[in-house]
Amino acid sequence: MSKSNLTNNIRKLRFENGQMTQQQLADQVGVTRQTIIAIESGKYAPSLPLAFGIARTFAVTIEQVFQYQDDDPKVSASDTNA
Amino acid sequence: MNKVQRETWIALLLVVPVWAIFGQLPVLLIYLEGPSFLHLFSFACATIIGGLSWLLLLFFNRKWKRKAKIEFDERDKLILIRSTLAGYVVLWIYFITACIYVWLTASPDRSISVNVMPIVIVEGIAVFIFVQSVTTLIQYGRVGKNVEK
Repeated sequence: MSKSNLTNNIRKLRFENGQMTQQQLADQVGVTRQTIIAIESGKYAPSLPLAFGIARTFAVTIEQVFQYQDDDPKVSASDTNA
Repeated sequence: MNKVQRETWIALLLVVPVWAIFGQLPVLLIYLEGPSFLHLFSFACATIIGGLSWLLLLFFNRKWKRKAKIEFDERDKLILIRSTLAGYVVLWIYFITACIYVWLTASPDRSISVNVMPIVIVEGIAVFIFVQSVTTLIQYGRVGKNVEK
């Protein structure tokens, strides 16, 4: 479970949504609290269905929850141009 | 600590010692003193208890049942797949090493002791469970600062 380039705003979104606890979020998206802890700390990159589930829980888009920072700027630029 | 971690700790602290120590002790006694009913019975008991020790997990899971709705998710599954793969790789290397060791210690025209087979198999199972348990716990890692009470 290495650190990835994926960052997230889950902690911030939880507090903006009525001080939601990690356990409450875990129960809503159907995972364990440990998985929420691992995702928040960037130690685990969730699957797409789970990422969408988290975004829908907060009623925001997936990009507002997760951000991907690429190490290689050339790849990012070519992706953007395409 | 979730269900998988609980089961892993039980495997590491109870199952591996049962396999490694109590499975091997009768074999050593048979090697030193020759086969007897008591030795064979001890070996059978140790391996049966070791092999069926997963039943202990059912007991402990029932006893330590928690309020959490979800006890197994995609991360647990991924961790178990990786740790099982690690256990399999180490087990395979162990078996190859054991075969080479036997070939080197006993030349092709000589026979080997019948005690070698139970030792290799029982220790192989212990090695697999040990590696799987350790890699599982390593992947879960320490609980970080993001934990909320």
